[in-house]
Amino acid sequence: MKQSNLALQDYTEIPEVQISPKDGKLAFVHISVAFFAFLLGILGGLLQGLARGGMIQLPSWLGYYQILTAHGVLLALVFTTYIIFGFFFAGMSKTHGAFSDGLRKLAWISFFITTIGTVMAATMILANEASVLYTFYAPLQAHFIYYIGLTLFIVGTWVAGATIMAHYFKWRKLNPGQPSPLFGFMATATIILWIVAGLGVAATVLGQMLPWALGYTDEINVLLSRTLFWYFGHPLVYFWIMPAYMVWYLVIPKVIGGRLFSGSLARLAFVLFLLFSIPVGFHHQLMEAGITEFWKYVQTILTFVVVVPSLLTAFSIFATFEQTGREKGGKGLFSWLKKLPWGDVRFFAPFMGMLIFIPAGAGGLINASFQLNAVIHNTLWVVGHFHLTVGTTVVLTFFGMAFWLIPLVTGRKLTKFMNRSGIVTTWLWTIGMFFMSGAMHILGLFGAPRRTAYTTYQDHPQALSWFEGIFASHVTVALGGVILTAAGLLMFYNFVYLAWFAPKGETEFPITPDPDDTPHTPAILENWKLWIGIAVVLILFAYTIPIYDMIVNAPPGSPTFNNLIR
Amino acid sequence: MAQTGMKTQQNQVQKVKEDSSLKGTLIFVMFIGSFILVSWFAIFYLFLIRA
Ligand code: HEM
Ligand SMILES: [Cu+2]
Repeated sequence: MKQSNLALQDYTEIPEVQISPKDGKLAFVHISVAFFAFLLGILGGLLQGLARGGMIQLPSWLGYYQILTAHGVLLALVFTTYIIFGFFFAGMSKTHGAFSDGLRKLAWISFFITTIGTVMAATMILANEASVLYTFYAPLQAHFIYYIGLTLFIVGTWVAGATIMAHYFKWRKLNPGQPSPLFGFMATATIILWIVAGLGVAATVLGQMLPWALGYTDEINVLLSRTLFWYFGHPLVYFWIMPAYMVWYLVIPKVIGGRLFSGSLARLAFVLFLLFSIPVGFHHQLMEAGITEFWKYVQTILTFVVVVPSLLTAFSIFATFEQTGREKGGKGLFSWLKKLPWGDVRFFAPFMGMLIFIPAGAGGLINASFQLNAVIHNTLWVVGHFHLTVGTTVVLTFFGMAFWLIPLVTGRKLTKFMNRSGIVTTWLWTIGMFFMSGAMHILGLFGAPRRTAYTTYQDHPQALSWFEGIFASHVTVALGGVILTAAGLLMFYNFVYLAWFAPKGETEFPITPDPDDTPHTPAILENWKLWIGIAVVLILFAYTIPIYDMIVNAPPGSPTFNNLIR
Repeated sequence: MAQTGMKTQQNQVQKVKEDSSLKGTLIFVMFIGSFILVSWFAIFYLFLIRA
């Protein structure tokens, strides 16, 4: 019994200096917006699953694609972004000291800009004026307010990112010659990635879509807009996963009572993510006409380079587990695993996320391979895939984080009861996702398309078989969706309890002690100018010629298709 | 009780540094690598029989 509770005791009995309450409040509003968006988003998911499975019929005032847009925007954009910035503000305050009043004010301004943008976009979706899905591909056209909302959202996050970077570089100035704290290093890499990537989406929204939605231009270069979107879209997924990796690298080692295996390896992985996750957007456009094979090939190679830091991460994390398990007296090839705190939700939820990342990552390599992409492109396989990556790996990691971060910033305690509730949530989410995502993967291999409301294609036998499989069936998807929704509602309850009802007290921000190799951190890893320079060179290399080609030899402009999927 | 439990645990972390083995990790990463290859070739096979 002592074994399983060990990690829980660590932080209730040994309070350290936590974070400034003012910074805690800043983090808390971000986390709150995230969970309210989460609640609405999963209810959309439930309706989609039931509607596609033919189990319910949506009322006439609620469109399938309207819900699907809301689901994608609320979960993939709003939930993730807010919880990430909540984590960043709290973590920077913990590791680099409290924010100055000026910077904190800037952070609040960023919060309001982002939130006004969110409200504008959400209102347009509710009004059914923006059922263009979260990727807003042209020539589907939304109300111009939707595009302005998106722009404010992005700009707001840039201001938030600038705040965090200013705090980080201030620390570096005050501590010359020292390796910077890992948290700030990794947050900075993530934010640079986000800002550089955001330029692409800003270019298409402001330069193409807004003028077109306002009626200043009649036609739009669809190929260019999709390319600029995916220039942003792939780094977007790294913007989700890198903060989750930060929890794995920095928080989990402490939760299990050990220390990170190597700091330099962690920094190297993050530098590689920064360099190689931007010049790769074409792997989302492999089936698209108008881009030559050569440039698709180049970007595919660059995509596969990201395997290196991904496997570095898998190695680092598992090595940290093994090192810690053995230091605690664990023996044998794998029996040291028993020494890990399985009963502690702060470990268990992210751990299940890591486990799911194995099939998720393997699926990603399949998606990125040209011929294999032809098998799965635009099928439900893809939806199954990203419900594993962002929908489980990232989400479960953030769930695990929420159990200490929320009480930390609200001055409360993670109780045993909440811990147990978190374990149940994690199991339910994992089981629900096994059914939903598993069935989606297989349905996709049988050709079931994504982004399609209920249809039997005039009772085509192939389409009917998607409802009749034992496991591979829309019914299984719906069943998994129901279990997931139960898990999501329970998580929302956990959030409310931890935020407003848990007993008052101190909660620890678990963060790994400096790894042994910290004094030997190679100075080059801290050379941001160099990394930004290389990133820019790689981007110019991978994109200049194809984008030039798309503009000079532009395809015929497309007129607006406004009400296609209303 | 909890306090002392913590203390000894921290001492152990300090002490048993040298002879830590990473055999489990080796097997684990090998497993991941094989899993990736098997799934990749499974879908590649689908591509071939459908092409
Ligand atoms: C209760 C949990 C959830 C359920 C039942 C659910 C269900 C679904 C279903 C059935 C679809 C797509 C159907 C189609 O292509 O027609 C979908 C799409 C999607 N889901 Fe979820 N989902 C859940 C949670 C999440 C989470 C947590 C995330 C991300 C953090 C997420 C992100 C997305 C995205 C980005 C799409 C694609 C939207 C599009 O194609 O434009 N989902 N979901
Ligand atoms: Cu991608």
